[in-house]
Formats: sequence, structure tokens, C-alpha cells
Amino acid sequence: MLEYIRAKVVDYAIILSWIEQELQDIELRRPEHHSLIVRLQSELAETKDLHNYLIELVKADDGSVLSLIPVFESFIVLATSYYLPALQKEGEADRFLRQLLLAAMKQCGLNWIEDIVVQLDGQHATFSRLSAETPLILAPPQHAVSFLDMPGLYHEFGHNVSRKLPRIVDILTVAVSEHFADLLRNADSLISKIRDERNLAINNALEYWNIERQNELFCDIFATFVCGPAHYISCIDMALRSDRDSFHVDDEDVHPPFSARVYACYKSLNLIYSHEPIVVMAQNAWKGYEDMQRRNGEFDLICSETLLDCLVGTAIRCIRELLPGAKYYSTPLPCDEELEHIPEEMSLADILNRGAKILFTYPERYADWEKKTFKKIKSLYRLDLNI
Amino acid sequence: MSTLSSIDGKLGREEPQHRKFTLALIALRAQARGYATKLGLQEDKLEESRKTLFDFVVRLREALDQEIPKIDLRPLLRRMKDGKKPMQDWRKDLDALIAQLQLEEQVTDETISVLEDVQLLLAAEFTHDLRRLYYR
Repeated sequence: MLEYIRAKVVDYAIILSWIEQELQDIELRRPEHHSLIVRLQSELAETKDLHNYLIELVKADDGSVLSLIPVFESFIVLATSYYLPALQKEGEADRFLRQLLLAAMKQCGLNWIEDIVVQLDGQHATFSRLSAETPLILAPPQHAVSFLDMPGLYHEFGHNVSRKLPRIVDILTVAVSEHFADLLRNADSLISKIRDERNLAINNALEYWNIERQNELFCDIFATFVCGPAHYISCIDMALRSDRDSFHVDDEDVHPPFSARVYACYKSLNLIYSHEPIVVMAQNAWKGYEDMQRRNGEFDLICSETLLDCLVGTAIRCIRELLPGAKYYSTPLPCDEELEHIPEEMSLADILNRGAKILFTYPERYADWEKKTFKKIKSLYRLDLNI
Repeated sequence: MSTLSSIDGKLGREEPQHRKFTLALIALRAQARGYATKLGLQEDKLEESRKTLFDFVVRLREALDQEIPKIDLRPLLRRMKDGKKPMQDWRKDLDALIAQLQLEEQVTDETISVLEDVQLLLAAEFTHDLRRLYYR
């Protein structure tokens, strides 16, 4: 094993030195990413210290240091597979979306954001592990010219929020634990055999709600809180596109079942939208889809309305208390001519909500409206993107 | 529906714990095998390492008997339950480990061996998530 570690010492020296040089070059080309580069350089410096330590361990003939290799890999994968490609290949469309999202994140109360890098490469994702202040955001390439599916980015902002405010996870965990502890207490009165089966099911349900699933649901709630009906509709759209059993509890999937997610989004909407025609229309479409599925006992235990209501209430309280800059989306959606008008001070959430209403009310007008709106916001950011 | 954000968040929570535990174990092992000075590990650093391992092992031992264990330890407990070593043996080993780490004496090879078992569990969870981000 020592021979392998000796080889890795050389391997890491080369890769760490290359990363260092790349970061210096990128900073010269893109001074706007200074904060992000500084964070990467700081992580690099720590990894280099660890590399020196690894050299000493090898000198001491300690072959059991293989356990340190994943620590190196963690930084190297993050830098070379994610941050560096995004920074190296950052094009005009990425920079445009970066500006749009920086403004949107501030409007959502994410005041800690110092810099972001965006890579339009195919799927929505956020990397905040390096630091919540300088996330990497991945998004589909059509976001260069289209708002469709863009509300999903607010869900990604939610991942950044839970990274910055881990207390939210703690609070949600307490809510989940208390809910299932109550169920366990209630099961005490059952006869022995039934009680054992019930307790097992409850414990499995508790185990199902790990941090990752709680986070995914929190992100849905957060996104609907700050982006309103556009996110609710977008969640239904995602669920319908996936065409899977919306009540199926999949232990392999980090996301809760769609019926739970859509329900949580609806419950997170501001009450002023209860009678908003596009919300009613989306809700009816979703009910029609759900009616074609079969609810099951597992779903009813794991994703009961009592639990989901509790999580929505708890998450919204957390957002209000821990993220006071996040505004509960409550802008009424206008009708007809006014709907297509885009004033300069309009937020991305306003644009997405108007877009959703136009698409579902006057679909024939949507393409023109989207083109005009994109042109307008690009000129607002003074970017001539030729896209 | 991407899982990348979720994996990144999980790694972000696991990484500091994995790194801290691994480095502390390396330090105590170096002390037990007599090359701590060669690595520049002073007494305060060794003491800090012992405390890191002690605190973690105490939390893990408590979680074994909790009706609702702490959520961050649940993946580890799941790995313990799915492993070959009976839970009763884990309880016994962790109790002995806690007692040994409380002593001022240098840790024994037996202690190191149990700590390595715990480290393997931590590493298994961490590298499982890391593999989901990269690797052919």
C-alpha cells in the first residue's frame, strides 16, 4: 500500500499545482469572481497542508493512511469536475443568467451571497459545499433564451439556504421526530402483535425522512414561498412530465413522492392565490392526475397531511424568523393587457408568474412575449448576447 | 430532478466529521506506534485528537440505545445494523473504547482497531456519496 500512497503523493502534487495555476489565470480573466477564487484558494491551501502531512506519513512508513485519500478526492472532484469547468467555460449566456440570479437571490433574502458561477449544462443543481456564499449553479441551456422551468431555480436557492442555515434542518427534524413519537405513543394501546407491526412501520417512516428528504421538501416550500404560483405550477408540470405513480414512496429517491411535494407547494402558497384562475386550473389538472393513481397505506403513513401541514407551517416559520429578507410572494397577477407589460423594476419572480399566466391563459401569445421580455431584461443588464 | 444538490449538501455535512475523525485517528495511531514526534504532533494536538474521538464515540454509543437517534448518525447506525458485527458486540466495544479514551494512558492496539472499524463506517458513507458525484 505504501507504494500506492507514494504514487498518489506525486499525483496530488501535480494536480494541486495545476489547480493553483488555473485559479490564478481565471482571476486575471474574470476579476468579478474574486470572492469565489479566494474561497477555492483557501480550500486549496488546506489541501496542500494535508499533502505535506501525507508526505510526512509516508516517510514514517505509515501505510494505513489510505483513509486520507477520500479527503483529497473530495476537494479535487469539487474543483476539477465542477467549479473549474464552470469558470473556464463561462460564456455570455452563463454570465447573463449569473446576473439575473444574483439579483433574484438578493430579492429572496439571501444576503450572504458574494458571488455565483452559473453553468448552463443540462440540469438544475446547486453546489454550496465550498461555501454558501459562493455557490455554483447548474441549469439547462435553454435558460439562455427561455423562462420555461426557471422556477426550479428557486428550489435550488432553497438548497443554498439550508446550507447557510443548518438550524432549519434541526427544527424540521424535531417536528418530524415529534410527529412519529406521537404515533408511537398512540400505538401503545394496540394489542401486542399489531403494535409491533405498527411500531416497525412508524420507525421505517421516521427513517425515511432523513435530512436529504426533509431538505428537498423544504426547498419546495421555500421556492413557493418566494416565487408563488409560478413555482407551484412548475412543480405540477415536473410531476406530470415524469408520469410516475405520484403516491409511490421510493426509498432510492432522495425526493419525496410528487403527491407530497405538490401538496406542500400548494399549502405554501399565499392565501391570496386560492381563487387565482391559473392556480385553480393547475390544481384541477393535478387532482385529475392523482385520481388515476391509487393511494396506499405507506404513503398515508409517511406523507400524511398532518405531517406535511406541520412541516409547511414549521418551514414557513423558519423562513420568517431566520431569513427575514425573504418576502412571501403576494403580488396579484394582473389580467389581459397589463399582464404582458413588463416594467423595468420587475423581479424575476414577477416575470415568471406573469409568464406562467400568459402561457396557460393565452398560449398563442407566449412565444412573442417571452422574446420581448428576454430582450428587455438583457438590455437592462447591458448585455448584447446575440442569442 | 437532479440529485446533485442533495449529494453536495450531504457531503458538506459529512466531510468535516470524516476529516476530523480520520486525522485524529492517524494522530493517536502514530502515538501508539511511537512516531508521533516525527510527524510533529505535540502533546496538545494528541490530546485534542483523543477528545475528538472520545466525543464522537460517546455520541455514537448513546445513539445505539435511543428510541429516536440523532438524525446525522442514522446513516451510520444503518450501516452498523446491516454489517456483520452484532449490535451487542458494538455496544461492548464502544463501552470499552470510551473507558480507554478517558484514561491518560496511551491507547492500545485493540482500541485502535475498534476506532478503525468506526472510521471505516464513516468512510463508507462518505465515499459512497462522493462516488455519486464522480468516478467512472
